[in-house]
Amino acid sequence: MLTRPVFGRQPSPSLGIILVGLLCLTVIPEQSRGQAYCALRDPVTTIYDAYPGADSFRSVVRTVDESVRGRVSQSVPFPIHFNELGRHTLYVATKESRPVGIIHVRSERGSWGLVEIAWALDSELRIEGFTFQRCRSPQRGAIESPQFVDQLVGKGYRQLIEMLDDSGMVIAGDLGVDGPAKELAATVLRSAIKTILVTMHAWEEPLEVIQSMGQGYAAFPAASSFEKMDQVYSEEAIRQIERHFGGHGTGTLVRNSALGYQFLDKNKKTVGHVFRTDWRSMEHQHTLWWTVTPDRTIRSISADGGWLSDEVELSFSLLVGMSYDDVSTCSTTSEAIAAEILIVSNAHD
Amino acid sequence: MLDFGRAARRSKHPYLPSSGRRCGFCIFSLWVLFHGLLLSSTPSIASDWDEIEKDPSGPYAWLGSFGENLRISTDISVRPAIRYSNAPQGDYVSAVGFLGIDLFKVFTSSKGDWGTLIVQPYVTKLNNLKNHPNIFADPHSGKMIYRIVSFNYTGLTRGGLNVRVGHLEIPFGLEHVINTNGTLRDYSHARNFGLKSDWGASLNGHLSGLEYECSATRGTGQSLHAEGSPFLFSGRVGTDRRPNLNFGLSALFGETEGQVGDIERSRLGIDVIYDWRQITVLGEVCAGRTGGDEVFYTMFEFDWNNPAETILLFSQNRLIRMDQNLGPRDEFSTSLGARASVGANLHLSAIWSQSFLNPPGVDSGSLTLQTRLRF
Repeated sequence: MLTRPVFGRQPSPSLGIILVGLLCLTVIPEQSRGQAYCALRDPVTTIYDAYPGADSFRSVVRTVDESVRGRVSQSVPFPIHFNELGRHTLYVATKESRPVGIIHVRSERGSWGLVEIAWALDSELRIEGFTFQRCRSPQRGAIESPQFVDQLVGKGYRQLIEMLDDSGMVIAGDLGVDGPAKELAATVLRSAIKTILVTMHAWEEPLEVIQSMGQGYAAFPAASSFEKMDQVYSEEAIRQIERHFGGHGTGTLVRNSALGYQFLDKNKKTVGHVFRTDWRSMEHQHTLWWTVTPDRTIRSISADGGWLSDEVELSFSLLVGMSYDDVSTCSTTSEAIAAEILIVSNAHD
Repeated sequence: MLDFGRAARRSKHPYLPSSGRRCGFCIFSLWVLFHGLLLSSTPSIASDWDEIEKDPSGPYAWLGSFGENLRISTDISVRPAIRYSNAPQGDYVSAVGFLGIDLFKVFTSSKGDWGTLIVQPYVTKLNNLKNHPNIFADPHSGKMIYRIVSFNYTGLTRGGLNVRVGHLEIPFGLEHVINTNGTLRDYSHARNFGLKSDWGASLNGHLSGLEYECSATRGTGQSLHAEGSPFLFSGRVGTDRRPNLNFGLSALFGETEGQVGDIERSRLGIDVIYDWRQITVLGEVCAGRTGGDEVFYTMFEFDWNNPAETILLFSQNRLIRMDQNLGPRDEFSTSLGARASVGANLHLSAIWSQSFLNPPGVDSGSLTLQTRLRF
């Protein structure tokens, strides 16, 4: 019987057992999938199909755990199954190291097996498109048709939830698909909603930077770097707000969760500001993204997950182009909120 | 100083001499490492990305930067089997135990992902396994087995050309598409080539809607050392896996290490997978030579899974025809198997197999069970 030394000397079984055993003790028990990790495949083709201008992508691995599951469950009537927990990867497509989009692949239970869908999301976590990585359903073609896909593109999770009934298991309306395809359509919608919410909650910290970079580099192409503001509501900003409003500002923007980034050109000169603010009122809860130019004009406003209503979206869209000079003439709630942001931006000059 | 000329004259191989291959392997590995370090140290807009990867509350934060984009699982399996045959040894009961870790790490730099590391060392202990693989000394021995231990360098292009080095799965046929590591399912490798994974390097990637991998490996399986100088080349080109119908073309030639000298092998093969509702149909056909014998291998598999994919039932049928000096010899085998997942961590499997020979010889079969825990 021939013996085959490994790496020159046969390691004793007891030594091998001890080594592997020690390694096993260092492993933190967590939810694990059945397949070995050598089966993992990056959706390379999907990433570059969705973002043909991208020159690279980067993986960000996080754990989807019970706390994420609980937070997602608060927003939707259907839960995350325990099989969906564990370590998952978010792919950020980049061009010249700047994010151009996000790919997140998730599995959803379908009638014929697990449906694996790769979702393409923009920096505001709205749908840019999707691809079936695996789908056994005979209705696959109907769902991949532009007629159905176009109804999802541009939508955040709030608008997608409205496309399902109260149970979340049946589509509301026909969405351009007939009888047998409606079940797969509902599966795809649930997958989209869960993907966005899981991304928001499990990747909360990296998303702050990814979304800021996406917003900032899109609004300010001349930028080459950015710096995070230590405190968005600085003492100077609070002083200016109190001077203008004669009090504590609008009272509806949550100050301690506000994020701000200063975008700089290669000469370290400011080319714009990006702010993320949580807006809480009796009727509305939104996470808003603002981009403000160096001459203190609002360049864009968007809402994570989409706007609660068309009216709210319209009222904020009218604010694009509002400048610091208009702050003293604001009369509506949305104008007052924009004024507070412009004052904060001015204080960080 | 290495004398490539003398080594070439001594070797019966038309390929690079063994010392040259080792030297080339080392130089290439150093080049990959250097390029990777260079990429990972490039300053930039990059430092912003460093904050994105950090996961201070993650399970591997204590490993520092190595803990970023890292997955580790402990994998424990027990595999008892009843083996029966009309050979002199008769029927007997055996068992194999596995204890290992499964590590998966993605390396990222300022320019994006540039490499993937997979490390799967398993302590494997036999218990009364009479027809044990040659790498084990006796039916009761145990040793460290390296399943996949490889680094795939992905920093060259947009996925079109990657370079993998280490102990990698030989790219051929269905084994390249379906992950069978640690399961009771197997395809052509063990029976066709005598080994499933091997030390070496490969080029791999996605181009124009096709995926490919071409490898050059040692031909020795677990060990880097060999009495002779085997060397194996293998490759597979396959269609995009996203549609329900996939095809692949594979080729292999070279030598693998045998009990008495190296064994010449060559194969050309085609594989197909079709998913339809809860059913998957898989097929593989390959033909070539093993030593002086012509070999024809065909496998057909039928799978059924429940909608949650927690239960899998499968049936495999294989026909191996060898045209030997003494005349043709056929081996037909059939298997019925099942796998059930209990939660996310526990997986129970069973497979019954029976082989038939023509002309008649030593028929054999087995009933194997497996309990696998991954966490």
